[in-house]
Amino acid sequence: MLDVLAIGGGHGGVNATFEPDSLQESAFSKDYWKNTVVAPLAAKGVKADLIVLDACLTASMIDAFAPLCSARGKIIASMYSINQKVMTPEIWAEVLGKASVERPAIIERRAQEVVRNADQASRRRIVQQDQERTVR
Amino acid sequence: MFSKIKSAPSGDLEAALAIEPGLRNVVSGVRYLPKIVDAVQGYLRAKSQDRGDECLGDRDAIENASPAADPRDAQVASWAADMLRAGGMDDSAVDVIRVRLQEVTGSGSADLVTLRQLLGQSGVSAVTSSGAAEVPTQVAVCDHAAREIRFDRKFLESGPRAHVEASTGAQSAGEMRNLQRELEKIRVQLNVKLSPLAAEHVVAGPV
Repeated sequence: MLDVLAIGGGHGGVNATFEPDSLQESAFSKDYWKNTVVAPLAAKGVKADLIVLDACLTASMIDAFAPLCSARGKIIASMYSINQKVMTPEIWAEVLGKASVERPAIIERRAQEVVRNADQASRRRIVQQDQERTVR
Repeated sequence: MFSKIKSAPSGDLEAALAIEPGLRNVVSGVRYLPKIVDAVQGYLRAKSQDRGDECLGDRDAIENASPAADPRDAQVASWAADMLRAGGMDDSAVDVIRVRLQEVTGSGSADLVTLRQLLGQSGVSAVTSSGAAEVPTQVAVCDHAAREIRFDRKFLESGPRAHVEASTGAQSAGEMRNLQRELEKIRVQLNVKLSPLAAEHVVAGPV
């Protein structure tokens, strides 16, 4: 059970999200999220209490992520083009600050770009955790 | 909307002002006066004539900018530039800018840096009080236990949607229509209800 599952980036359209400009990948459709991300996680029994779809117009993708939402869970999404991310550096710092060995912050490699503005201590921890996972 | 006034390409800003005509009189103080201050200060700091001319060139560009600057702002900018180019009148050039900033901000401060900051604050305040900031809250919440998707009821009103369009771009109108259609599909698919609520209840849930 995850406390928070954040899908970040900031860019999105109806039924799709887009990578930040600095990364190489482009569009991720609702089907991509359903088939490539949500279905495998759901098959492993992964659930989250809070799912943050942090990009423009993500209310259109609530259904795609619903299988990962716990019975008491909530999905936070956006209704139109956002000019401010929900997951600000301050929020990221708070989330990452609560991470521990028992409750690690799992940051998908490409998403590290998204949290790069979190505070320096959190950034170091992310990189360290990632390196440790790589070594293992 | 404030950031759009401050730095969006002129075409985008003109499109937004067509929707929010009441903000046209805010533009000059937010978009041009700070640049005029920067141009004058840049000129005074310039270590070469070329660099100084470049700074005043930034100021000159404002005269022909779109949307148009307030004629009073254009006038003081022109006076200041003439004084600086004439030489020996740097203090007078700063004074005319200072007086204009004091007039716009309502502040008696003599410090240009302070006055420039106050310009930003008064711009934000003007945008907020104009009603342009009267947009639906951005977030929607899908509450699994309550079997509902909550969103700001202002999302269903044309006025607040127009403010979103002015702020985020002309394509927003179509995007919001498409999103509304998708939400209807999701309502059926997930067997949830769509709950338009007052903004303060979107995250917390209805009382």
